[in-house]
Amino acid sequence: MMSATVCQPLPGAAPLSACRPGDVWHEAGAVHIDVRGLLPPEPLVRILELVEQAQAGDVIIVHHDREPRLLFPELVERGWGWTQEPAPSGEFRLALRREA
Amino acid sequence: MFSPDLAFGAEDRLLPPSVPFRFFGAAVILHVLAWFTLLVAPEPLTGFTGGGGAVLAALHLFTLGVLAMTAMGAGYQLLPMATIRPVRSVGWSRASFALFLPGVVLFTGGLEHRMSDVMLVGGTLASLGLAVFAALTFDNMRRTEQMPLVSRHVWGALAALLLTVLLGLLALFDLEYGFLPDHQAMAGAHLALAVFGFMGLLVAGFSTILIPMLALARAPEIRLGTQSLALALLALLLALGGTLGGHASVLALAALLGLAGAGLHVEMMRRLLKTRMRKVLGFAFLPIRSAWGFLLLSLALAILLPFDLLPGNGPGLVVVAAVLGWLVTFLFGVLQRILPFLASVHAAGPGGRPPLVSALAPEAPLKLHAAAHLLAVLALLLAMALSLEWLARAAAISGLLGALAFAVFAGTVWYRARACRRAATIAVPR
Repeated sequence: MMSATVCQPLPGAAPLSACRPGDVWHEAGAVHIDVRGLLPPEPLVRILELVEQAQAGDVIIVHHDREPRLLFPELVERGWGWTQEPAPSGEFRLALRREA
Repeated sequence: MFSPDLAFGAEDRLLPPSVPFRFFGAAVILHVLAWFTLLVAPEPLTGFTGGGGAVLAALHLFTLGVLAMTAMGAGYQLLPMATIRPVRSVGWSRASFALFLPGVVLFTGGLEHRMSDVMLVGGTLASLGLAVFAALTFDNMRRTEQMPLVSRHVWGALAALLLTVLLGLLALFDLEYGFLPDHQAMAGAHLALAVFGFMGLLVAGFSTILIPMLALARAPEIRLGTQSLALALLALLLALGGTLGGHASVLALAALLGLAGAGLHVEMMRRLLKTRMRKVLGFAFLPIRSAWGFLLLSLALAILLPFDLLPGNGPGLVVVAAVLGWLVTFLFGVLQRILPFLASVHAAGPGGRPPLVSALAPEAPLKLHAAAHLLAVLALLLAMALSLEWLARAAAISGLLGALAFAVFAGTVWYRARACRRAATIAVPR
C-alpha cells in the first residue's frame, strides 16, 4: 500500500503548511525528503546532506520526479544501499539504508 | 532491489553509454595526436602566427578534435540533466559523431599536408557534424525554462558556433579561391569566436552544473552568472568588430570586458565552492583551478596584444594560454572525474549496484598527466615569450607524455567498467 505523502515537521522544527521542494519530515519511522522541483544538482546535494547527517538505523525516503542514477555511485561510496518503493504516477520513490 | 530499467513514471535521461563515450574516447586519442603533431612539426612553433601546416593542424586537433569533440559528448550527456528532457534522437547524436570524427581527421590532415581538396571535404563534414549537434541542442533547449544560467550560456555558445563555422568555412574557401580582402582578420575572428565564444561559453555554462556536482555544492548565483555572460557577449561582439575592422583599441576593450566577465565567473565559482559538502576536492580540482588562472591570464595578455606589448610571439602566447592553458586543462580536469563517474553509473548490471568510482579510476596516470600537462603549458608559454624553439619542442614532449598518461587512465577506466558490467550481467540468473 502506498503511503500518503504528509508533511510533518521534524521534532523541534517550525510547522510546515505544505510539501515544498527540499522539505524534510518524519513519517512512519523514516525521514522523508521531497526533492521534486529542485534543479540539478540540488537534489543530489540535499539527499547526500541528509545521508551524511543520518543516525545509525535511519531510513531515508526520497521523493523524486526521476530516477537519480547519478546519486547511486555517491551512495555506494558512502556505504548506503537503496530500494525503489511504490509511488504515485510521476513520482520516483527510493528508500535509502546504510548497509551492514 | 528494483532494476533501474523498471522505473515507475521516471524517464531515463542518460544516453546509452556508447554515445558520450565514443566522443570522449576520440578526444583522448586526438589529444595524443595533437601533441605529437606539434612535436614533429617541420615549421618553427615559436614563430607561428598563422598559415597552413602542422602547427595550424595541431591547433585544430586541439580545438576541434579535443575540445569540440568533448563538448559534444558532454553536451549530449549533460543537457538532458539541465533541461529535464532527453535528447530527441540517439541516432542523430551518433550521426553527428560519424560526420565529425572523419571530418576532423581529414581537415587536419589536409591542413598539415596543405591539401586543399582534403581540407574542403573534411571541413564540410566537420561543419555538418557540428550542425547536427547544434540542431539537437537547439531542440533540447527550446521551450525549457529550467536552469536559466545554463540555457543562456548554451544559446550564446550556439550563436557563436554558427558564426565560427561560417567564418571558418569562408577562410577555408578563401585558401582555395582567394576572395577575402583580409584573410588574417577572418582567421583571427574565427579563432576568437571559437575559443571564447563557442567553447568558452559552453564551458562556462556547463561549469554551473558540473562544478557544483563534482564538489557537491549549491547552485551558483544566477545574478553573477548572468552579469558574467553579458560581459562575455559584449566582449565577443567588440572582438568581432575590432578584428574584422582592424581597430586595436576596440580589441583591447573587448579583452578588458572579457577579463571582467571572466573575473565574475571565477568569483561565482569561488563562492559556490565555499558551500561545498565535499571537503576534500581531490586531484581533479588542481587542473580546474589552474585553468581558471590561465583564463584570466589569456585575457590579460589579449589586452596587451593589439598594441604589440607582448614579448616574443604575442599571438602565440594568447592562443597557448587560452586553448591549452584554460580550455584543455579545464576539460581534462573535469573528464578525470566524470569519466569514472559515468562509467560507474553505466557499469551497474540489471538490478545491480554500481562499482565504486574510486575502484575504476587509477591515480598514478592522472598525477603524471597533470604534472606533464601543466609543465608543457608553462614551458610553451615561456618558449613563446623568449622565442626558444628547443623549449617549445621540450614542452611538446611533456604534453605528449601527459596525453599518453591520460589515455592510459581512460583506457583503464573503460576496461575496469566493462569487467564490472560483464560480472554483473553474468551474476543475474536468467
